[in-house]
Amino acid sequence: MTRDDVQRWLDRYIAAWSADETEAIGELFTTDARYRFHPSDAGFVGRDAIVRSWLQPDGDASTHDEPGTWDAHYEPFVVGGDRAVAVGWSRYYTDTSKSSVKFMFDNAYLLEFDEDGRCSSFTEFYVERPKDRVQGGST
Amino acid sequence: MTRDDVQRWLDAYVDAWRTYDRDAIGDLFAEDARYAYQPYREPVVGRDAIVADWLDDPDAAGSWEAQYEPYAVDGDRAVAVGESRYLEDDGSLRTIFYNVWLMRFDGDGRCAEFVEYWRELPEELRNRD
Repeated sequence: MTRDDVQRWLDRYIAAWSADETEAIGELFTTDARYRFHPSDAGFVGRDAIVRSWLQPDGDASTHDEPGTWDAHYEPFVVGGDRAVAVGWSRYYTDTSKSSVKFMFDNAYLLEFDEDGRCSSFTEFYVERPKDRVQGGST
Repeated sequence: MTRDDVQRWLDAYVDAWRTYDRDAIGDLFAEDARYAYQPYREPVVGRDAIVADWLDDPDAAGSWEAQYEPYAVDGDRAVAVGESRYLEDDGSLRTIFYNVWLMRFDGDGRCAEFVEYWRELPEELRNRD
């Protein structure tokens, strides 16, 4: 994977997340991919389980996000062989007017890819910002 | 930096943490290094300030164990992952911090930028005695 490959994957990840499209989400991952919302989790294993965890979350950290109520930006920090680490932020608003921030997270994603550029392992490290630091968007 | 270079740096980091030796800590970092304990926090800037910060509130010897390894390395950048396990007086596990460290190195192999992301073991899995 090159940096450009990883950036394209991240852009598709955000687009799929925004669109809530089963196929677009599934396409990002290998059929046996593992997705962890926390490094101590066993995580969701398999494309179908990952898609369900996005669209029908069951009380984990990733509750379903209503379209238009959040922004996110990610970019690769390191790309080495089939591994990459992406960093960025996601910001959640109280409603679609995006006038009031509810939460903001800084994230690091540990990623592994197969030879087709699909993600086979995804581990999130998300850190919630204190309320007085939720407006800045820089990485 | 190669993976081996990064592993050696990480081992030196853990040794410096264990000994709290002023020179060993300082040797890890570039003169003008920036060290952020959280991605959103202002970094501690400069080797002397980083050393002073490490020495300010030290972890007691024997109260922790840590293991870090490179996850990916690319030129002067590397990301390390690992765990720091904090122990009770009887040696049982108190809690675990899972860490991701984003690092950039200078030409001498010293760390010029360090940003830490960490997650703690979920509360229900910690020792609460």
